[in-house]
Amino acid sequence: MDRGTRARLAEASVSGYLLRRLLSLLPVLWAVVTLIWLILFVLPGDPAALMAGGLRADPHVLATIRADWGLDDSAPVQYLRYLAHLASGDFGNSYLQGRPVSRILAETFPATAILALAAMVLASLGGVALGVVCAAWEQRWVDHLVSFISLVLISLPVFWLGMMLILLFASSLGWLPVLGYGMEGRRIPGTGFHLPELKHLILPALTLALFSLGAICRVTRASLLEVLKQPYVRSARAKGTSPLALHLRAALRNALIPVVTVLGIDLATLLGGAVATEFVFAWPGLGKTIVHGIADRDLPLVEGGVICLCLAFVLVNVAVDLCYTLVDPRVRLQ
Amino acid sequence: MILFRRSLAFWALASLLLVAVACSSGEPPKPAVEQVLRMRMRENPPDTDPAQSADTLSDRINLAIHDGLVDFDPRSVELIPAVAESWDISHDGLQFTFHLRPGVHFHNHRVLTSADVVYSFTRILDPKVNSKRREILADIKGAETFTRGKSSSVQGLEALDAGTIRITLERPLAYFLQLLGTPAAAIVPREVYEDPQKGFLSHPVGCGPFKLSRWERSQFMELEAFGDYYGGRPKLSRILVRFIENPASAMEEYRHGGLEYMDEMVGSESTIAREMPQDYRKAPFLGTFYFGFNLARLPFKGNVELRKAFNYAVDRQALCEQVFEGTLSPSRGILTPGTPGYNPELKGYSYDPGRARESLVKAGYPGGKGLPVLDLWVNNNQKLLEAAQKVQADLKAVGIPVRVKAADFATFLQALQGTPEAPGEALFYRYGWNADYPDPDAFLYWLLHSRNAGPAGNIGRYSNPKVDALLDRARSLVRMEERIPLYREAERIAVEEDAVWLFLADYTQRVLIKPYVKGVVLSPLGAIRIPLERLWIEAPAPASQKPR
Repeated sequence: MDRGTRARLAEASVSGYLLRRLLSLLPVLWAVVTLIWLILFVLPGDPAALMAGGLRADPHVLATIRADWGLDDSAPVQYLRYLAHLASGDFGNSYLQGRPVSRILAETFPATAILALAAMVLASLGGVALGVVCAAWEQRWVDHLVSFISLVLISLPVFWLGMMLILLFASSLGWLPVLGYGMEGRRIPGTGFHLPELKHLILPALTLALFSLGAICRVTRASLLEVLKQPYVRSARAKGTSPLALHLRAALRNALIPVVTVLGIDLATLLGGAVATEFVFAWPGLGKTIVHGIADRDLPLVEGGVICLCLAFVLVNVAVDLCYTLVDPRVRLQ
Repeated sequence: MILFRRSLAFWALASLLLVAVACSSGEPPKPAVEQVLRMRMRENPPDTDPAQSADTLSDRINLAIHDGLVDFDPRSVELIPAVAESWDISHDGLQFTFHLRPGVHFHNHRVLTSADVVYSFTRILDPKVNSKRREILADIKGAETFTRGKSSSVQGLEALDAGTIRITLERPLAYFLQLLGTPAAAIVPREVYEDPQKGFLSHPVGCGPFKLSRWERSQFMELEAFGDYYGGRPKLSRILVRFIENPASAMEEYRHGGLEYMDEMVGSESTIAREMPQDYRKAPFLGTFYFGFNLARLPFKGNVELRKAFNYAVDRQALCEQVFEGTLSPSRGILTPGTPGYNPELKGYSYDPGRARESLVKAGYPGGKGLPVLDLWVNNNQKLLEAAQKVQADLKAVGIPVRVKAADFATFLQALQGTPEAPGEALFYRYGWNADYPDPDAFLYWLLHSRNAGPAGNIGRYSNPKVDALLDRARSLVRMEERIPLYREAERIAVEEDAVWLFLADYTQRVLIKPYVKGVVLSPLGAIRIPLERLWIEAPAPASQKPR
């Protein structure tokens, strides 16, 4: 088999794999949409009352809102109507904002994605480096200290950690802004979206990263120690390979498979779980928007947000699967 | 050579003069202060359409962008001219003729005319718009038939010429002018607000002192001084409204110098007041805080002695001092100090556990025996929960069993409101009411009249024909001195005879404003009425306080 044929076969294999993964997403999405819809439907609270002005609402206005939004219809009718709109790619309009959900998602999801990616970069660089240090000095004081700090970081509530970082780096030292996204970030042409200013990104990304960093460090350490016990590493050591080359060249790449898995899960979790950080740093992200949507019983907004996160979750996992093949050539997509 | 010497002498003299001038002026000239006010708001304003403005966030923004025919003086809350420079009222109080100020421009630079006033008011009554604030114009002649779709225009709205408009009412309404000062009664340009795509929701256009220049959702809203504002260009060149949900983070930002104005405080207010005495401002506010009874259900239905027992059992003074650190003051009735018609002689209820026990006996529940455990509904808020726990302890001391039930706002709302026909499930709940306009009617009509039973305001479903008649009569009179005795009598009946709810406290407003922001006036109608167009920044901000 020549090289071109092999490349074509590999390409077909990846395309087929992606198609299968995306198709398998459909029943998952349907189940998630239905579950969220049911939960929001049975929750006490009337979105029409909130739309009509909260504590003081004109009964006539309330009735008109219910009729306009079809909130008087039976549950099956509302559910099927929502599914029909969704099937045609229409997420509907947000009850409270009165704007298309797709536009709200386009405004908020990139901010969350940027935050999660920045946190992931910081966490993976720091976590892997510290994991290598721990494994290299196993059972020495450095290992014990880093392991202890990792455990502390995993245990700290994000909300508290964020406030402490604000007090230290913004209020006391004055190095970084307290909160916000920044007004001067570069606007992405053709979209209404603008990037955050770097100085505004650092603290929220660090807050999120510190939480993940501990877990990545521990997984890297454990995995690396496992690989270091392999016969090929012992052979390399016997041949006189330096400890640095042994850890970084011979062992680390093979130890990365579980680390990549954790990174993938962490990134997907950060996308949906950055809400506390978004809240502390006034970050205009999707997590905060979904939480508001739940409080306001804004069903289209919550559904749209959850579908968006679901898609992101699956795509990240697909990317992780693809990364396996890069990290370890023995892994094949099936 | 001589020329050279003369020239040298000239330059030496000039240099000396320059040095002298510099020395005589003391410090080098200060750079002009950047006139930017950065204020915190919890989140985006939900409704930038004034016709739908029904919450403080929306009202704050709408008051900056829009103006109505009249306005309130922020200090005295008396009516002052706005878009209308003057008005005449007919002897029977039915016709109001407004003379518009010449040269009022919208932000799109079009001149405002009486046709815009007719359009704006018709829009509020339009059934298709379904305005949350329709009630402010509901008494205009022909409003009802128009809203029901039986006529194509509102009979009582007439543009006499480009600068004059006449409004005719169905019946006299003493506070009609006050209603026109509420944020919903803003004048808007037809060409912008007829957009079926509702572009005005993201780019509102008004004739107010500030125009929207940029809105990044959930980040900030930038308002720019409107150069053609009829009241003169505002001193502030721009206002940056920053959306910061977490009050703890916002407090840090305020301390750090990233905000000039904060509307919510975290932690002990007395500590904050000590820490920042020049920033902390407190002022009266036309609002009342109480725990309501569901009068349509047992055990409160028809049992006035039980309701009085609750009122005697609670120590309001201790509640205000211990829970609210003196920021709220105990109330004796419904109307708050500063409201026209406020009755300082109303007795109300003093803290008297002995009388509470006596009332319980008369109510048929001696020592609280036979009373079910009552859920006290509170929406999730730390201070409200603490207040509920204090009231729970006081009631328990006389034998009334109460369980605090905290819920998110949507659940809380549903439990309270019910429908106009059926009461909600909550029997005992926290409630509060702010006046939209400075008139006793703003409290008493909405909270007590049986016509408003349910979501319209009378959540407790109080119904007393005598009180209804007094309120109806007071609404129809024009002269305040004739109206006030009627309102006072209605309030006395509701408080002293019927004990309609558990009276607790009068609200105050507290804000943090940097001392270098000048021209601040806290209106009794709330911090949303701080006249932004009159503010200016006095001192140059230190380096760390430059607008970001």
